[in-house]
Amino acid sequence: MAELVIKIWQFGQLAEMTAQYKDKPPPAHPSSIDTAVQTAMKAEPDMKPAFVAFPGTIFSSKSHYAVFMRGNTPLTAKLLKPALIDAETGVLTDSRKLPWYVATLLISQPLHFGDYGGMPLKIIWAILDIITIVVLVTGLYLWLRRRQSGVSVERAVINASASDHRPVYTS
Amino acid sequence: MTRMPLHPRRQTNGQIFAIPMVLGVLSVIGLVSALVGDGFWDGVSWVTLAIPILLCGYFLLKRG
Repeated sequence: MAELVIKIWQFGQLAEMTAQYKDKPPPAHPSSIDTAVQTAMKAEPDMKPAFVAFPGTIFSSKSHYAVFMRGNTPLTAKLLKPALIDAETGVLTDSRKLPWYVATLLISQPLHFGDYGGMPLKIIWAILDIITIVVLVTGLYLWLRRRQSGVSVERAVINASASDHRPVYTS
Repeated sequence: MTRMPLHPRRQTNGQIFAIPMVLGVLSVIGLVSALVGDGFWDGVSWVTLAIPILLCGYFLLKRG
């Protein structure tokens, strides 16, 4: 899933951003990564570098360093913005926000790893999980009991209550 | 087995689902606040998400 989303971005927005480099050969004398990071930080002073993708990897074109910048609030820290740096000249060529489908994937990451909200939220998750499991198991138990011939919850209740002559609901 | 009156009071859908809706809205607030905020918002999520758990515990003890 994540790989598919990245692929869509790679062939969509990334290809668009690096269209003029399509027929260029990969850089023969790559420039310094340190300079690339400095250039990206200068372009986005309010963001911090998260990671750098090398030329030719899935997160970049074959001619660029992609410096992925992230914001500094809890929400924007998950949202990355790649700054594409020409790996030959060290010049910033483009920087665009990731499209909504990648942003959605990035925002949903803590939901999968549960690494947010601190220890109290983890405990709350655990208790809610246990409650859900109990509901599931008791439901399965009742359903399986119903299917056994001769053993009927309803009949057992009616027989038990027949002695004290009071109407009951067998819910 | 719990005994109930033969003709339980009829409730409209609104009456039946009012409290579950409130719990659902509180849970959504808790989930989103934990996801997008830190500090104070984590506290908001702990309180709103603990409410269903406390209600479960209350009714479990009340019945048993």
